[in-house]
Amino acid sequence: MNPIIIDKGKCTGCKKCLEVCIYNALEIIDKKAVVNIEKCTLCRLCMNVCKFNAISFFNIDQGKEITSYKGIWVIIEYFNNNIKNSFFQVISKANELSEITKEEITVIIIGKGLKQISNNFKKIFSEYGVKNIKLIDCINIINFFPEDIARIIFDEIILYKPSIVLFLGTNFGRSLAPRVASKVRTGITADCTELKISDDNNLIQIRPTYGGRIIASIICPFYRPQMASVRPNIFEIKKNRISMDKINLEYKEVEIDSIEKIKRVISTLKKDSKDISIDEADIIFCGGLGLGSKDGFKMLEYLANKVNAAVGATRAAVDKGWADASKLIGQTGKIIRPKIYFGFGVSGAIHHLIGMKNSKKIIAINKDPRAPILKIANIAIIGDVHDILCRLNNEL
Amino acid sequence: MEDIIVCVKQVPNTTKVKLDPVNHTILREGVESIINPFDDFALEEALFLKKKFNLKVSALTMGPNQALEVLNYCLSKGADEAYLLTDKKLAGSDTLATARSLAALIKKLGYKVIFCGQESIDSSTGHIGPSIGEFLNIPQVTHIEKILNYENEVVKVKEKNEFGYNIIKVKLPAIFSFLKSKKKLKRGIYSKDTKNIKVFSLKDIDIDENLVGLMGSPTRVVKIDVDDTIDYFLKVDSNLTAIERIKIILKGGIEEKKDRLVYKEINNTIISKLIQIIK
Repeated sequence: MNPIIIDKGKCTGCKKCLEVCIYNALEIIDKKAVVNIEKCTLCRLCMNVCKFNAISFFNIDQGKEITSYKGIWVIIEYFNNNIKNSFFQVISKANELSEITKEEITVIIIGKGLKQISNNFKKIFSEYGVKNIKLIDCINIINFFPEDIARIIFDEIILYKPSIVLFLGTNFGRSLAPRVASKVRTGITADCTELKISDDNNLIQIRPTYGGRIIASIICPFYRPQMASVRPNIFEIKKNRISMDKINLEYKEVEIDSIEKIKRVISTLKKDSKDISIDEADIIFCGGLGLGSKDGFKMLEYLANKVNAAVGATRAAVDKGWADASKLIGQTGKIIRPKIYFGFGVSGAIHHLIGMKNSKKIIAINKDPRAPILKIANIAIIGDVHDILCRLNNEL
Repeated sequence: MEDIIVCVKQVPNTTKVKLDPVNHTILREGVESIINPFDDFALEEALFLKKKFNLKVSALTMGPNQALEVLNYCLSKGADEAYLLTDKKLAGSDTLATARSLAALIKKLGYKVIFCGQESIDSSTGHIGPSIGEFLNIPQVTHIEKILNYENEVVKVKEKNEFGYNIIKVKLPAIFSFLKSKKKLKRGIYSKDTKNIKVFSLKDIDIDENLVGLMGSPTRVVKIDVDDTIDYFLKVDSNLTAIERIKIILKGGIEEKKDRLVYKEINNTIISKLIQIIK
């Protein structure tokens, strides 16, 4: 049976529902709307547009009691004694959502040895208007594994029933979120680039698919919590200061039967500490085809190290083998938001511009005056890349 | 009991996907279907272990009948068995329902090592590995570059993260999600041959049909849009005169920053300005 029910007494045959259904699952028979069960995906768009309240929904999973789930949670990793900047982007977005749903935000901080520093968290999160902080101190964990953390978050969800749970799309977050969702048996959307609230209070989760060519809007109408991982460096950080004594801080010690019995990290290879990640850097030196060779790129890296800048690369430079794919900036690589972006020999193909257009200040050097990047730069320099690298090197 | 099960997905070659300019729907006609490239790397690692330790490698996919093409591809590369899970009632599955269905079949087959790609090139969620892991209650390792060792029911892998690499040892059974690597892949052959494919339907696996397909999927796609980021860059103001519009198009259609500083040669003033900015 189809849980979408149309009240023939109320239906006027106005066809509004037909227009909105992207699956063509509705038709008018004898001047009344009829649902085609084969095509209907239960998305309920038709329900929302019907002015006559003729369409209703029989809840298949009434045990879930959707309305009893309240609050927006943001899961924060505190694994290396710091919080990545991008987590505050997620919190800023959560603030926007909470203004619409009128539900409070809780940040769930997962880490170890949190008791001594609990006041620091109050201070940090008071800047972002977070009223509830929950510190989860995993006292007996050596390595943070998604399997263990999923169990901890699962227990919290079952107890406190949040309506929305957001994760940052770090490698860890992307491995953790589906594990939690599967435990709870609820929906999960990966790598969201926008989040909104629909008129009927559902979280609209917007994400690119098909290699970024298509943007899909996804909802999770009958299950709670609604869960999503969020792509780093898409949302802007917005401060929203509140007084520290308005904050509820809960501290919880958790001792669990860890998966470490059967899964262990036996060694860790850290990248060169000088090698700053482009996700988090304030200054980025990006190299393009104009650098001419691998040696040109090495020169750029050398210079970047001197000033604590991170090194990024265009698709062309990565394809040439001058830089590692982890340095790729653009639609298929990283999206960045540094304070200062330097483009050395970068022409500015559309796919690269999409990845760096949000940089606060853009400085571009290219010998071709027609290079598109020069048009969107705050400072555009038409000239030889090697000349400028050498001169900067002499001065730094 | 299977030694290694490789979960594969048939995907449209996304670099060639076109959109209907009017309806903004995906034009699938004429777009070739391929094995998800991430899964191809997982398969390659499995076949490497097969050779080294004389293990049995099975390929598994869920999808409509035509998905058997990717299974034949896996067989042609050296997989020993191929399983297709297909049923009309599975249509419309999201990642939760898909993982639930795959896990049910894997349970039936018996499992020790499960391989999959880190993500698919069409939907790019990365959910399936961890989600199957959860349904089977076994450990997962994701973002794997390569298998380093396999002995005494313990697998050692190199896992990539934001800071570098972890070398992880995990006791079997476990599920592993592989990244693409620089390794050159052996090519396989796609065919519509049915004789070596073992087909399963919903009634062959132990699962409530309300928990799979559309009914078992919590998420719903409510809207599909074409990415307009590119349009934003290429947009030309229609109020401009024809000549101005042509000028903008010739420049690549990019909106110029109004207050930008342009230097046509490199001199000491610029250098000291840049140094000031950097510091």
